[in-house]
Amino acid sequence: MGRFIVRRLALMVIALWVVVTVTFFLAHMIPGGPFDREKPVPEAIKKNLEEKYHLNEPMWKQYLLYLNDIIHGDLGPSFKYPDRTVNDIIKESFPVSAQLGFWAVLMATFVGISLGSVSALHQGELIDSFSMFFAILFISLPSFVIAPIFQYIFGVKLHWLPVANWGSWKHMILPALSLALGPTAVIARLTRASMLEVLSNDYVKAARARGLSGLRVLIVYALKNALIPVVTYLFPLIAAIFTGSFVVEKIFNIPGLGRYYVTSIYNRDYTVILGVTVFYAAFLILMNLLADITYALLDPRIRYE
Amino acid sequence: MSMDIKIEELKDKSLWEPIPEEEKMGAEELTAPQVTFWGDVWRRFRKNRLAVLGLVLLVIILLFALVGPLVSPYPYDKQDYDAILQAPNLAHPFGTDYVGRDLFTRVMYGARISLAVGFLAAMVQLVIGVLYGGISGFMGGKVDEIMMRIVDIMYAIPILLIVILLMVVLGPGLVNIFLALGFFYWLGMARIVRSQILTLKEEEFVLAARVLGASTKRLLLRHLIPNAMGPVIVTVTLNIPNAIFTEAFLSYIGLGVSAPMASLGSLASDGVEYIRTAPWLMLFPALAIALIALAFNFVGDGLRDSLDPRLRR
Repeated sequence: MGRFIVRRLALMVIALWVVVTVTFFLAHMIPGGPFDREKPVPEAIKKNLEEKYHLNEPMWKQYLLYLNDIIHGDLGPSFKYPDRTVNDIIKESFPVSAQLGFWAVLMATFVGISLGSVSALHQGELIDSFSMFFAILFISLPSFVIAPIFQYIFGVKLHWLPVANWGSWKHMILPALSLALGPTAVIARLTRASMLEVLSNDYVKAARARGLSGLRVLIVYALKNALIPVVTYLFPLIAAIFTGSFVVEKIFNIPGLGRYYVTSIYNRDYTVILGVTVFYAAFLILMNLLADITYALLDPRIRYE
Repeated sequence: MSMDIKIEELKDKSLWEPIPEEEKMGAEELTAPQVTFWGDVWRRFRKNRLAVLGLVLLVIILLFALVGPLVSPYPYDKQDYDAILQAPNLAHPFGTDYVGRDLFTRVMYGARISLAVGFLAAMVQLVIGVLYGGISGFMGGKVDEIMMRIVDIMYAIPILLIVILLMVVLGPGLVNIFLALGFFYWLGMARIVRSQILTLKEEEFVLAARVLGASTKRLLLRHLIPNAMGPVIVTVTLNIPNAIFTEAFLSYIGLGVSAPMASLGSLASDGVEYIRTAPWLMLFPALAIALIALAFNFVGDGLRDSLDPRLRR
């Protein structure tokens, strides 16, 4: 087990290094320098600026400096807004994304597991076909489609909830719901499939035969084993919800990291794009690692070589 | 039955005469008609109503995307300032946008791009993914180890982020989307094919083929890969919506196809600004994306159910 984790960790570090290197060299492929404005900067100032950002150094030295910065957690300044660093932006906006993501994850797991269990218990009945049809429907709707539709129905037409912006808990419902629907559907399908498998086991039949109620069998005996695939999906789910938040935050005008990321893409604010990409990559790679480890911990059938 | 039949008895010519037609016992009626593996799959697939619905949907969408723009009376970029922001009507079934372009035609064009992206994703998986996984699983040993480490590392990298970055650097455009997606879309498939090949290559029919002197190429292309095709097809179908979503997402955040070309993602993104005044601008492209994804998911689910011999009903 220890060796398995070490191997995974090594893989994670390599993947991270690949991301950082690729981002660095991609950034240098972008035509034009960062100080090429419509009004040219005076030669002397440009030289000073280039010195400040080490742009006058040879490429390999810039790369090493960049690596050094990243190892120390410094993601660099924003070229569009020189008074702010990428670290500032992340510190300010990531908690907002995390809060939104937390509620979405909570909603997706709770509703998904309940729906999947109910479907499995009533396999083949109307409620099963009904919820599985909706599951496949919501899997087929990307969050950037769901979000405006919710905005339109609950905000514009019914006036139940605010159309956009951030502030009270009311502002959180629609965006969290838009983020959660797809993952809810995936979890419901996962739970249903593994629940059906567990329910056909002898120990469940034995519990039933002893006269325990369906609900008790489900909660006490079946759920624990049926949830293994769901738990391992939890980390990819968090990753999916955070990438989903790019557009949802933009649509609902929420000051989270996703919106900054998309805005920096619109503005071609390259250093912010790079910095946030590296940050997200580290976050998602960490989620992958945690998923692998929980999977190995929970399912003894996995060999860790 | 006694086994000691004399050779002389077997030489009796009358034993080898064909049976006269009228004496045949109706042997054909005793055996069920021969069904091939794929015939069996098709039989199960046909019984799945949602899967058939998905297939029909796909054909309809394909027709609209391929033929629709050719017969539409409006070119996709024709601006008509006498017909700005019209609600859906007889002349413009999906309405018109803020410069009077016919939304129906533009959605059909967008569907074309979505389907092209889906097709590309399928091709990348079928060619690169299947060959890479096949070779890795078949060779085993050091080669397998190295090839799979490469996949592991690339797999750990969040694809969407790198694709976004590539699009920022390469600039918007359909060809660049193809490049960025093609670079990554074979990874999952390579893993699936490899594990399939690993189990298949221990099977006896492979040993038999080997004994008969089949070459490596023949073993891979004639025996191993065709037998791994079931999971491959299911994975391809279920992955196509992902590729289509990615393109729509990229176009949505302004990294996809460039104007006046339209993709379903950029159409939906343009429509969001008019959601209060002209909700159809957002609704129809969104519905089109959902419908395409739904069709592929129905077909993929149906294929998985009909290909899986352990299916319990």
